[in-house]
Amino acid sequence: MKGLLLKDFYLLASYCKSFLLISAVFIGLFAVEPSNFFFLLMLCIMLGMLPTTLLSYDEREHWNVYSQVFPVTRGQYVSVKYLIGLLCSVLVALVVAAICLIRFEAGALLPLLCISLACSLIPAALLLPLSFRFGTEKARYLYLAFIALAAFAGAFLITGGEGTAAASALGPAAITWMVPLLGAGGAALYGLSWLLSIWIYQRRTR
Amino acid sequence: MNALELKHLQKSYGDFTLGPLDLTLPSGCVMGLIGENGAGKSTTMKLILDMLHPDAGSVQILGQDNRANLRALKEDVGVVLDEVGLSQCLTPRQVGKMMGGMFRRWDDAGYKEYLRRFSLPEDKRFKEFSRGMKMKLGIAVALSHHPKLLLLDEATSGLDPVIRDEIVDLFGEFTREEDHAVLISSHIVSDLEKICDYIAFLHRGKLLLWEEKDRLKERYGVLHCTRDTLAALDPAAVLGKRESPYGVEAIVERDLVPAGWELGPVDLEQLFIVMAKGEM
Repeated sequence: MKGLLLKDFYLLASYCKSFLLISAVFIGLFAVEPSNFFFLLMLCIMLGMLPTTLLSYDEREHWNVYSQVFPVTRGQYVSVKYLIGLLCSVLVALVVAAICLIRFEAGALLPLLCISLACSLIPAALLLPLSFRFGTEKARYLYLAFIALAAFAGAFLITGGEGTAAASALGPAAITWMVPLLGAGGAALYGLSWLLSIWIYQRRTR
Repeated sequence: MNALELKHLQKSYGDFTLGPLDLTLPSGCVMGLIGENGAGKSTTMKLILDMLHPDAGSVQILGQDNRANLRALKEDVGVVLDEVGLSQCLTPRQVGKMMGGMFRRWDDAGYKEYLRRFSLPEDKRFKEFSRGMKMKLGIAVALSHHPKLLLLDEATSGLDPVIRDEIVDLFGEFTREEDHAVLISSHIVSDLEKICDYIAFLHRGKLLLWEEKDRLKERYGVLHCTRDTLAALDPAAVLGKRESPYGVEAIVERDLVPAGWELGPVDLEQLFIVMAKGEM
């Protein structure tokens, strides 16, 4: 497993330089303007997609087949991608925590951490099982379809379908408990997705 | 001990069925798996490595079921596939470090010695390698954890004759150890003829023959004669023939040919073509 991780780090260092550079820019922008959550969300979503990007390189270069001749299990192969996703999320969380403690009150730390965790873990949790099942190419289309559906549902929820802001109807108290729930839900979904991907990949094309 | 045992191994994909295959590779031997493209050679290799699930049958590697603890078994197996699927951005030095994290018995000094022997630069990226260099790197990786069994799937295809010869010699060296064995699949029969102790012919998923190479040479011969002479021969003795204005060339069973008839040695390629097509 150490060898698989090392290989993905070499790939990150070689192929994902621009990806990491853009992430650094988003971190900088978020540090300068922490009230604008767009930069934080983009950073989380981008880093959350790194494991799938690595998987697509594996498919293109046939490493997903070749790796099976070495003493590593399919479960370990899957787990390495999830570990990298988790590592990215932890890194984002640390950056968010540092910026938050410098620029915000300490009370904002928990909600921001929850949002960053949810935004980096949920996309990976949805995309990875699809990628292990259908391949990264098809999975991206399915993922986009899912996001479009979620955005539509989200918009409907916010406006209540009648132009009324459902969010304001819920009130700030509800938001206070919803945000930690979102973070915990994201982490739980990631864990379930991990198990599901192992199950899927152990049965794929055999 | 047998290095490899396939028993009634079967796999079907729509209109293609492999098997049932029954093959045994004793330790200390080299077996060549000969077959045309699409005959099922790569499928056989993948079934051995449990990359595919068989519909029926079993595989034993070094005396153990391949599905019982394949991860531990792979420590003793070196594999070269027809495509070495290393990432294009990696250098042989990085590959060595990666493999050190995968194999318990990875021999970094041995790996570097193979790199030197194959003239592979340690810091050149894989994408800049020629096909021959890529295969050599795959072979260096397959040999550097001291495996007991080598599985080589078209490992010499696409290589020039000089490199092929060098690599085939290396496989010969590998089997000097009594507990080492090699299963090599190829459609370049001359490579296999040089090093193999056993030969298996695979045609459209079916095993046509599995025999010691020397026994095959003893059993079959090539007869050059006229049409009339051939007509006088027991038809059961003739596996296949090719007629030309100058006479007939036929592959025959030596035991069924009358004593005194002069027979030449058969080469495996001729024999495979005759068995697969029924004619030369």
